[in-house]
Amino acid sequence: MRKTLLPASLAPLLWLALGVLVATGLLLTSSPMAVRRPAALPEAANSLAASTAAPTELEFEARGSIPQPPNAPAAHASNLLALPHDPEYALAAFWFAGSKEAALDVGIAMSLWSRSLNAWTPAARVVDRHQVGAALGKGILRIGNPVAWLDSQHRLHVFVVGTGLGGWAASRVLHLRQSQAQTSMDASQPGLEVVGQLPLGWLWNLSHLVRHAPLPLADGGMVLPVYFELGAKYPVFAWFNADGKFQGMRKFTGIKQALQPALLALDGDHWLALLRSRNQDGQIGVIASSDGGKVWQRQAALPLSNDDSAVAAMRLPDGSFVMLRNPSERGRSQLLMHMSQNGQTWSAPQILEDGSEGSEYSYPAMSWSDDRLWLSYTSLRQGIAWQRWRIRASQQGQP
Amino acid sequence: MNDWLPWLSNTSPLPALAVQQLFHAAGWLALLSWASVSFVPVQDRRWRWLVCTVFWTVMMLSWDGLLSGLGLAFQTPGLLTLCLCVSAAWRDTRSSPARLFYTTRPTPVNALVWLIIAALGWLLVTDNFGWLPLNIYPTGFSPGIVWLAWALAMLWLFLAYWLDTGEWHVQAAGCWLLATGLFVFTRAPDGNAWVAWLDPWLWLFAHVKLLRLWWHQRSRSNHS
Repeated sequence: MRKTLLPASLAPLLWLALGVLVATGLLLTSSPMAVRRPAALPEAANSLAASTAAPTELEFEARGSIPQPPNAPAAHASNLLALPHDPEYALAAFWFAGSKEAALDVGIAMSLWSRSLNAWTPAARVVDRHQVGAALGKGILRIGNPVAWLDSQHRLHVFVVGTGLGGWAASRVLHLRQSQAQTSMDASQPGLEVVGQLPLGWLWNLSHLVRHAPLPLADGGMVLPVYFELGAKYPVFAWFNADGKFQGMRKFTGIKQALQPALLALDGDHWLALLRSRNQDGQIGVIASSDGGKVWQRQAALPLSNDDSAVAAMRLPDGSFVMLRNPSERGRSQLLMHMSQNGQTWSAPQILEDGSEGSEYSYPAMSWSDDRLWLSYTSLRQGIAWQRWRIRASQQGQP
Repeated sequence: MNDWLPWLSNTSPLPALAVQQLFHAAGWLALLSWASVSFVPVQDRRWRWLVCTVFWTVMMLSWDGLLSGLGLAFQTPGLLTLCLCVSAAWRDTRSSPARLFYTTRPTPVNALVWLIIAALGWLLVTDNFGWLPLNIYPTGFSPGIVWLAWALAMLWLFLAYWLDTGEWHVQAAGCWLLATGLFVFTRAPDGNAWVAWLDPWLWLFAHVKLLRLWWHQRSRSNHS
C-alpha cells in the first residue's frame, strides 16, 4: 500500500514546474564574474615602466616598534593599511599576537598611527577565534595572518586565516567587515563583524591562507592574493567588487612549492606575482598575467635568493616598485629592500635589518600614506617593528 | 540584480551568514539522522526517523560544540546530500511496513550514476591539490555550470519518465534538480555549485555504493 498525496500523473508536471522555477531563478540571479583593470596605477605608469628614468631612491626617516597588546609575548605577520580618508589616523597595522604562534589565545591586534600624536595608539585586540567561531557557527582552532582593505564606502575589511582540525595546512580564509564606515577609526574597536569564509576549495575548503595586501581595481574592487599549501603549494586570486563582496577566483597550478603571492600591476593588463619559494633553486618565484589576472604563466625566477620566507612588493605612486625579502644566505636574520623601475630588474639591496644568526626580521608588509613609504615586519617574533621612508628630496617633483 | 531575493548578497555568489548557518544546521541534522536511523532498535522506520531527528535536534540545541565541531572539521554538507537524506526520510515515512526492507535491485544504470559521482569527486580532488592544469572548482561560481546541471537534471527526469526507468531515477534526478533550485535561490552552503551538488561525504558514499554493487555482482556470478 502506498499513500499518495497526488495522482501519479501529476508528478511529471510538478517536476516540470520545479524546472521552470529553477530556470527563472537562474535567469534572475546570474551575474558572471567580471575582471577589470587595476586602479593602482598613475597615468604615467605605463611609460615609466618602459622608460630609462633614474631609479627612485628612498631615504630613511624614522623607525620604532608598534605597541604590543597586554599579555602577548609573541607577534607575527603584520599588515599595513593606509587610511587616506581618516582625519586623525594615517595608517592601521594589524598582526597576530598571543603567547606564541598558533596558540589558542592568539588574537588579531590593531594599532593606528596618529597624526596628531605622531605615534602608534595602544594595541587593541580586535578579533579572536571565539568571536569568529560563534558568528560562523563553526569552530576555529587558531587565527593569524590578517590582511586589511578599505572598500569604496571606506569600510574596513579584514581577512584572517582560521585553522580547522589541524595546523596551518588546514586553514580557511575568514572575512570580516565593518558594519558601517567610521569617519575616524575607533582605535579600540573598529566594529568588525563576520561575513563568512571564502569558498576557495572543494575538499572541505581546506588549506587556503592569505598573507599579502590586495591589488586595487579600477571599479573600486580588488584582487586578494591567496595560496593553497597542503602538499602542493600554489597561488590563488580572489576577486571582490567595490562593496567588498566576493565575485570569484582563479588559481595557478603551473608552479608548485610557491606560496604567498605579492601582486604587482605593471599596467592594466600586465600583472606580476612574486612568490615565496620552497623550490630547491631557492629564488623568488614569478608568475605573470597579460590579461588582468585571468590567465597566469610561469616566468623565470628572479636572480634574488629566497629560502622559504615571505616576500613583500608594492608599487609607489611614482610608478616605481619596492620589494622586501630575506636572503637565503642570511635566512630571516637579514631584511633587504630593493627598488625597480619595471618590476623585473631590481636594484642592489639596502639593508633594513641585520641581526645576529638565529634572529628573525621577517614577514614584511608595506603601505604608502602621507607621501611616505611605511614598512612593518616581525621583530624577533616578539613584536612588530616599523620604518618610514620618503622619496629622496632631489627626486621629488620629477615626472 | 538580486534585489528580489534579499537573503542573497547582491552581485555576490555567496549566501548571507544566516543562510549559511541555517543550512549548516539543516544539513548536519539530515545527515546525522540518516546515518543513525539504522541503529535504532525499532521495527517501524517512520518511528526510527522520528527518534533520530528528535535526538539530533536536542543534541544540537543542547550542545553548541556539536555543530561547531562538525563545521570545524567538515564544513557544511552539500545540498544534494541534504536532499537525498530528506528524500530517504520521505520514502520511508510514505512506505507501509511491508515495504520497509525492500531493496532496489542494482542495475548497470544505477552503478553508472554512482560511478559518475565518484569520478567527478576524483576530478575535484585532483583539481583541489593542483594536480590538473585546469580550474574546475572556480567554474562552480559561474551560472553556465548551473545551467548545464539544470539541463542535465531535466533531461534525466524526462528520460526517467519516458523510458519508465523506475522511481530510483525519478528520485535521484529530482533530488539533483531540487538541490540545484535550492542553490539558485539561496547559494547555500558556501556559494560554489560543486560543493552544493557533491560534498566529499557523498563522494565517499559513492565509493561505498560502488563497492557494494561490485560485491553484489561478484556474489551473483559466483552463485550462477
